[in-house]
Amino acid sequence: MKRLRGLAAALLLLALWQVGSASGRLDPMVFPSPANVAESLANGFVEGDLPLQILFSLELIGKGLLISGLLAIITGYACMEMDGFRKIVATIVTLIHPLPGVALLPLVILWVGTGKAAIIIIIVHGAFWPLMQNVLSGIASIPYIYFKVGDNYGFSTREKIFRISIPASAPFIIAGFKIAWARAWRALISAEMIFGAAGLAGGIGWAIYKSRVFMDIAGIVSGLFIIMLIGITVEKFVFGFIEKRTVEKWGMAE
Amino acid sequence: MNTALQAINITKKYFKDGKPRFILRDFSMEVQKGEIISILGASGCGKTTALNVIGGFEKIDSGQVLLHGEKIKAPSFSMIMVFQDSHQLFPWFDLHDNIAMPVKKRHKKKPKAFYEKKACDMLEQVGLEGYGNYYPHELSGGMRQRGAIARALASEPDLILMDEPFANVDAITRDSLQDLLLGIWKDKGLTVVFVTHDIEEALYISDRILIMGKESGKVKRIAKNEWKGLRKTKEDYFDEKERIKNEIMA
Repeated sequence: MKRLRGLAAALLLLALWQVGSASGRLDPMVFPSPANVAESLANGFVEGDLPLQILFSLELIGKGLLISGLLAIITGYACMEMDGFRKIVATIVTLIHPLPGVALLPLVILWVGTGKAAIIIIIVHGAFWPLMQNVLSGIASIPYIYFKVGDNYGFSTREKIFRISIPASAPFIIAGFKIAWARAWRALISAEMIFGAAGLAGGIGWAIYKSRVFMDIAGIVSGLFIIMLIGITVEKFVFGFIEKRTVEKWGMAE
Repeated sequence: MNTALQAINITKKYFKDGKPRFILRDFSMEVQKGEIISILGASGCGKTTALNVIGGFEKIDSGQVLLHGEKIKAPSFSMIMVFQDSHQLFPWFDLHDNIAMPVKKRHKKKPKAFYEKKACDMLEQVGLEGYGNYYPHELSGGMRQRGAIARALASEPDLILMDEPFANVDAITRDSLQDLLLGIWKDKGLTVVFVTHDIEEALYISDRILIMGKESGKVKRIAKNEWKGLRKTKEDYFDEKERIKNEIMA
C-alpha cells in the first residue's frame, strides 16, 4: 500500500510535468519534456558512455564507503578499548564533520593532484564523519549486560566485537551508512565537476557538467534522474534488504 | 555434605565524603553441592553485590571466594549468572542459537549434531520446545527468563547464580518459574545461589536462607528452611515470614 502510494505520487508528478511541457508553458530550453529526457537517457545507454560513467561513479563511491567503513570500525573498536581516545575522536568528529568537502579541495589537490585518489579522499571525508558519529552513538547505546554475559561465557575480544558490539549497535551503524551513502554522492558529484574527467570516461557528475557545455538540457536532467534512481534503488533494496535481515528481524529497529 | 563454594570475610567499600561506606562487611557463606540457597534482603542491602562478587564480576577490598577450593578471580563457565534483566538473551540470535552458543564454546570439537541436540534438550527442559526459531523479542518476559535458564543449564556450570530472575514477571508466571526451577533441581541436582527480596519466594525455593540486614552488608542469619516446595501450608509459616521480615528491616 505504502509503496503504491509512493508510485502514484511519482506518476502524478510525471503527468504534471508532461502536461506542462505539452502545453508550452515549460520552455524546452529551460526545462526539457519527459520525452526528451527519456530519449536522452536511451541514447546515453545505447550509444553514449552512460553505463561506463555510472560504473565509474559507483566504483569511486564503493571504494570511498569501503574505506570509511573499515576506518569507522577500527576507530570504533579503539574507542571502546580506550575512553581517552574516544573523547579525542568525538572532538575531532565535531570539529571536522561540518567542513564542506569542497573547502578541502585545494589542500587535497596539493597533496595528491586531481586524479581518482583526490575524489576518493573527498568521498571519505563526506562519508566517514557522519558514520563515525553514528558508530560512537551506537557504542554508547550498548547495554552493559551483553558484555557481562560475554564475560560469563568466556568471549574473546574478537567475539566481543563481532558477536556483541557490532550486532548490538547495528541500528546505528546502518543509519550511519545511509547518511554516509547520501553524503558520498554529494562529495563525488562536486569533486567530479571540479576535476573533470579523472579517468577515461569520467562519472555522472562529469557527464552533467559536460552537458551544460553543449547546452544539452535533457542530458543534464537525465544525469540528475540517474542519481535519484540509484539513490532510491540502493535505499529500498540494499539498505531495505539489510534491515529486514538484521535489525527488523531482531526487533531492534527504531 | 560436599562444600561447593566458600565466601570468606568479604569486604567491599567505597568512600563518600571521606568516610568509608560498606557495601559488604565480613560477608561469609558456604554453599553445599546440590542445594538452593537464597540471599534475602531489602533493596540496597548488598545482596546483588554479594552475588556479583561470588561470580567474579566485581572486585573486593578483602576476603576471598573459593570454588571447590580454588580462588575466583574472574567470571567463567563454572558459575553462570541468570539476570533479572529480560534482555539478557542476545536479540540477534534466535532462542536456539542463544542456547547453543555456550555449548559450542565449551565443546569446540564436538559435531554440530551434538550442540543442536543439547539446545533442543534444554528447550524441552524449560518447556519451550518448538520455540527454537523464535527471536527473544517475539517471546514474553517469562519465556525469555526460561530461555536464560536454559542457556545457563546448557553451559553445565558447577553453580548457577540467579539475581532476582523472576522479579520482572507477573505473579502467576513467577509461580510457574519457581516450580520450573524446583523441577529442574529435583531432576538434575543443581547448585543454586538465588538472590531475592521476596520472602515467600525464598521460603518456597530454598534449602537455606541467608538473611541480610539493611545496614553495612552484614549477614544476619543463615536459616535452614522447612518450607521448600510448600506454599503456606503450615500455620507457623506466617510466623516465620514475619520474623524474617523484621530481621530484614531491622
